[in-house]
Amino acid sequence: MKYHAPTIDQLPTKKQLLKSTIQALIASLIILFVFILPGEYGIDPTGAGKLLGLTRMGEIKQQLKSEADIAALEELENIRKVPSTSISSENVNVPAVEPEIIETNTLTVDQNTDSMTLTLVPDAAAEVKLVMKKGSTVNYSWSANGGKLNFDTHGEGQGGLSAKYDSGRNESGQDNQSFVAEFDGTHGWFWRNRTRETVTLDITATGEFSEMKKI
Amino acid sequence: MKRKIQNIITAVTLTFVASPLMTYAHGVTTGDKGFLQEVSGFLPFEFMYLGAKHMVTGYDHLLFLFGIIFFLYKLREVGIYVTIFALSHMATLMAGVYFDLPINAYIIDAIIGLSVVYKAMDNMGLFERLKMSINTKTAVGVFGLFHGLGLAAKMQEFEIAREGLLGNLLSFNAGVEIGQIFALWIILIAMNYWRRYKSFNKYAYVTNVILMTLGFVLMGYQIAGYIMS
Repeated sequence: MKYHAPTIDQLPTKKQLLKSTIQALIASLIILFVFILPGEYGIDPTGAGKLLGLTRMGEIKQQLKSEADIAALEELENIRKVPSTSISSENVNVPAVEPEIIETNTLTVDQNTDSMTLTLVPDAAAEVKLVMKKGSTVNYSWSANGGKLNFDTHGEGQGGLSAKYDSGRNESGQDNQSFVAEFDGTHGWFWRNRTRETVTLDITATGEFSEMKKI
Repeated sequence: MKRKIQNIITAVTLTFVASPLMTYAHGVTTGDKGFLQEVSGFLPFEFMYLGAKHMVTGYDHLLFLFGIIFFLYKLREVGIYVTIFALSHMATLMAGVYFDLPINAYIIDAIIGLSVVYKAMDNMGLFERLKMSINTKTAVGVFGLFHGLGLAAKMQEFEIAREGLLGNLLSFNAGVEIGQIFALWIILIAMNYWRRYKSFNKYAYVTNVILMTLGFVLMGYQIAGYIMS
């Protein structure tokens, strides 16, 4: 490719260029309103986004974004609640807010069985956790009763500990699964309904845990 | 509408407040990846949109395209080069994602940076000066293969469901090409404005020097990333 200057007749005329620029501006506006606003923000001024499925994509993205922000805010609050001994403030009388202490050192946990039934409307999520000691085993089964759910099996502990055990997408259930708690904390499941129908979820767990709770 | 705007403002503010301490309760992934991890099945328009978005925001691909068309004045020539580029990146994008080929994103992106350097040097007449005759069309085709692998690597990061993958992949590909055509259209309009002025001749060379620099920056950034990983 040689560096060579173009001759004027090789180039579009000013009139052609102006026309092209206006066309490009119009095209960009159309793209913004028909594709980008629905696909990123779930905003659908023309209704075309709904037809194309882009509005739903934008709505899911926005939902995930606000969930992430809420989770981050909760983390902030949790950090504030834990009394910090390294911060010295003479005048401030901070009331001692007890962090949620999971009593794992006093009791020996026997075999426990518990189950729950939850209803998830489209795009809804549900979280169920078991309070477990490190090394405890739990055996579980869950069913979407004909529907399909995304799931994520994981655990959380104090000090930001986290463990991932399993995850899946668009599944109808799991039978006779188990995991071993990697640390003292709450271990369990997160389900999300990304179908268009309401799903009834049943979860049953048997093993070494002290409590099953819905978060 | 007002509530959605309020939501957006709240979300943005929270992000700035919370980002230094961001540890999610159960690990919420957001954005395109977050969306793709939640859904399954054949979603043609969603994947077409994502493909177009990828291309239009893929500055390394756009820089290469810019370098390619810099001195092409005939639409037919633009068509030929862009088609060669499109076919080659299409092939490796499809193969890379469908066969889940192991791709090191850093190395591939560094080669993409090299493609930008190559085209800028070519525009500056470097290879002619060195009496190296490189078939430009072949070079564009070969580098196109690597651009496709780069796109494939980004798609692999999304962890897309295997179910309906082929249809979704074809849709993504179609989106990439549509995005490319749109980006090219805008670039060509701008270039054709510029080419009418004397400043084009004056600054064409230095613009390609800047393009080459950006190519080197891309390479350095990716190589550094590779070493760090």
